[in-house]
Amino acid sequence: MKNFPAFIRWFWLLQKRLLRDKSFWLMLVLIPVLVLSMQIIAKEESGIVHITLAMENPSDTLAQKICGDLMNSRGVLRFTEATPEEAEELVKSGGCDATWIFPEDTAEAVRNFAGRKFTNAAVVTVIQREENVITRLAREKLYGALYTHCSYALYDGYLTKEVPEAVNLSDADRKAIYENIFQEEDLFRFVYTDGTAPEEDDSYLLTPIRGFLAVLMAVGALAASMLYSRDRENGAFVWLPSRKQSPYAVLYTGTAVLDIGVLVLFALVLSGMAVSFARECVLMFLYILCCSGFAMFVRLLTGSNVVLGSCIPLFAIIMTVVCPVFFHLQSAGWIGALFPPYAYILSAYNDRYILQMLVYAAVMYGLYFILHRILKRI
Amino acid sequence: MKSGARYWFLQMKRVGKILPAVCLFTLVLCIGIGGLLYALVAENENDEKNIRFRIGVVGDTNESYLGFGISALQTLDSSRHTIEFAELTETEARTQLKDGTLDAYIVIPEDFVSAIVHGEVRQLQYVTTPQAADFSTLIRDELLDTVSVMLIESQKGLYGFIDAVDQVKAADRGEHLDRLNRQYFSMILSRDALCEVEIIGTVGGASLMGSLFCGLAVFYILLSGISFCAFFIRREKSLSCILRAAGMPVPVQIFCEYGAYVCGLFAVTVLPILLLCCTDAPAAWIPEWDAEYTAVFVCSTAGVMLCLAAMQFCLYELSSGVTGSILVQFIVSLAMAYVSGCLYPVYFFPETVQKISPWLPAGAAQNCLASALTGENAGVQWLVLLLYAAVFLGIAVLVRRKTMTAGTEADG
Repeated sequence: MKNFPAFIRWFWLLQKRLLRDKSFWLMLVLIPVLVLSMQIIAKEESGIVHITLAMENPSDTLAQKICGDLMNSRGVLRFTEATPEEAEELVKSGGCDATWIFPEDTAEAVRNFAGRKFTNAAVVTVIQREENVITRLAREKLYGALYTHCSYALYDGYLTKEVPEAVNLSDADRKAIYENIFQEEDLFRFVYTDGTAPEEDDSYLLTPIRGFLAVLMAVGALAASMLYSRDRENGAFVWLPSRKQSPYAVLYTGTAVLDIGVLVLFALVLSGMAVSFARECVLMFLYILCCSGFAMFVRLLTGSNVVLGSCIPLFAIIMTVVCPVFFHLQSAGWIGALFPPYAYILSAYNDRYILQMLVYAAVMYGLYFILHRILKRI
Repeated sequence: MKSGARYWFLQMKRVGKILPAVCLFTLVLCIGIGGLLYALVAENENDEKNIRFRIGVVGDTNESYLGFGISALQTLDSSRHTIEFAELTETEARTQLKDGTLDAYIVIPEDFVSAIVHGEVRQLQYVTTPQAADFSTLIRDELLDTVSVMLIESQKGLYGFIDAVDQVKAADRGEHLDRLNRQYFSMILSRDALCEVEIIGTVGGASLMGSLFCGLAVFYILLSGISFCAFFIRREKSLSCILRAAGMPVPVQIFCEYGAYVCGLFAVTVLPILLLCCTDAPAAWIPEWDAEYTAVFVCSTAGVMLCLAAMQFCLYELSSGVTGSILVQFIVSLAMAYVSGCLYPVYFFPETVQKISPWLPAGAAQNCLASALTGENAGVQWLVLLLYAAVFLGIAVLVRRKTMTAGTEADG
């Protein structure tokens, strides 16, 4: 070991020290466990809005068909069935977000809607706790389910009322003519920019994984810089020439971040969220650089472990909000770019952000070394 | 008893040393986050269009029917409040998609309209990036499904009508077709009339905003434990042995330290929440917010904080190093907040998780706060929290005893 360069010896000694700490091990183990748990959760049936479907007349054929179609539909809306009274109670008690109640004779209600110029002829009664974007958009799904029947009712009604010659066509003929047009499935085909199709089993519960792990690494880097500060206060570096102290500080932080990074990479591969192993390795390397630079710079700015420690939770909250963990807030992009997770999360699918990570790391190290020099002179 | 009080006072002094810095930075950053969120909300409110999705349209849109359809969507349909269409070339669309200024783009094949005229449908490509896979993507999929149904069914009605009229050889086909076309168009625009919406308000349980507010308050309390890492990391384990030798049992030590920690945490968590409650912000965002319940809500926050502090205390007792301690706190807080519905509404999760979450510390805490908002009784949840607090403090005592025994054996 003595023949190795000093920084490798330091790296090795620090590794030994970190890995002797049981809580560090516990944290490392928790990362893949957390991701695996999220995967297990995501495999179960879930939805961003819970709608109870109810029929005033359970033997109404059309209501049964629409409810059946909705119950079998894949997507982010979760449907359950109940009687109208039960459904209303569920909404009141907060057991579901809304209930859609189908009338006694849905087919007649649909014909009424199509025949009365679409006014004063609501088909479905919707009872909900509150009106928000999600419930509004969920209703579009209901419109889609009803529209097929409304469209046929309009076509059929028009033929009956406005085209006397159509009396020669039986109901079955009219239906056959209507159904023979366009037998294609969906109008839209979803593709990514690289030409691949989105996977069917993409779950919204898994989408924040990369963001969570990125924020975790940034917090880990800040914690590692606290470790460096404490050792520095304890005089562990007094024998080092002052010009060597900054690079060693980076190495110190980088060592802990590297361990976390390896586990994060493993967790990403395990979750199936990794783009490609080679790309993830490159991104992770750059992200380790960014996190270490950021943490060291913040450490110098804050000046003490007490202040740095008090900043960590708030940094974590800010990063979760302004970096695209859950949502990509375009208007907060410039604030997000101040934190390392921003470019890392976006760089998975966009090369431009790889460059941004490089620039970010360079700026952070530049600022760190400048600030270090200034503080040394003071 | 006296020595216990003196030890608690000493711990208070230790907390007092770090508290000004913690409070100052909490305040500064809270103002920063508040200002940021306010600016974002104000920007969106001032934006007349208040657009949520921007979708590019690539391909031949000069064809009259298609151009008319897009402009009708932009001016008449209720979707105009959420979607903006932009006619672009494919290169422009790709660049804007990469820049993040476009959410997706639709590629219209050259022969799209002529194919429709001949009774065929060409698929449209909806191009997006995987990085856009967030909630807006999920809702987008549902919306496009509906759009797809509406377009295809309308075409079926119109071309079916042509076929039917041709079969019976009826007169004025063109005139009828125009009228039917207008009726289809009108039906799509009037689709909101398909439902009669009755909003009953949040009679039982909190609203979406109310739940999120309580969830974020719990998440904030959970993360605030990290602010006090300096208090825990600087502890001298040998001091515990000396104190025990001097006659102060481990439970008393733990109780004194926990008491001091709770006082510190109170200043950092409950006071900012109290200040927030005194502003108009909660009333503006949370429909069920009642000024009468403010005191109950703040008292509940304090109670919840007492219980969550016990969990944080136990985690610090279980961990040793700086990095490990902070990260274990962070991971446990994040995982618990996620599963308990502090970050997403709990109904986003599968039923199994929904059943478990109220029995987790963070879930019980969130329900207690939500009950305080709505004035409901949360007896069971309080019982759960108190039980957890007792268990966590009990574990802390056991761990401390074990550490001391291990230390004594090692010394021996």
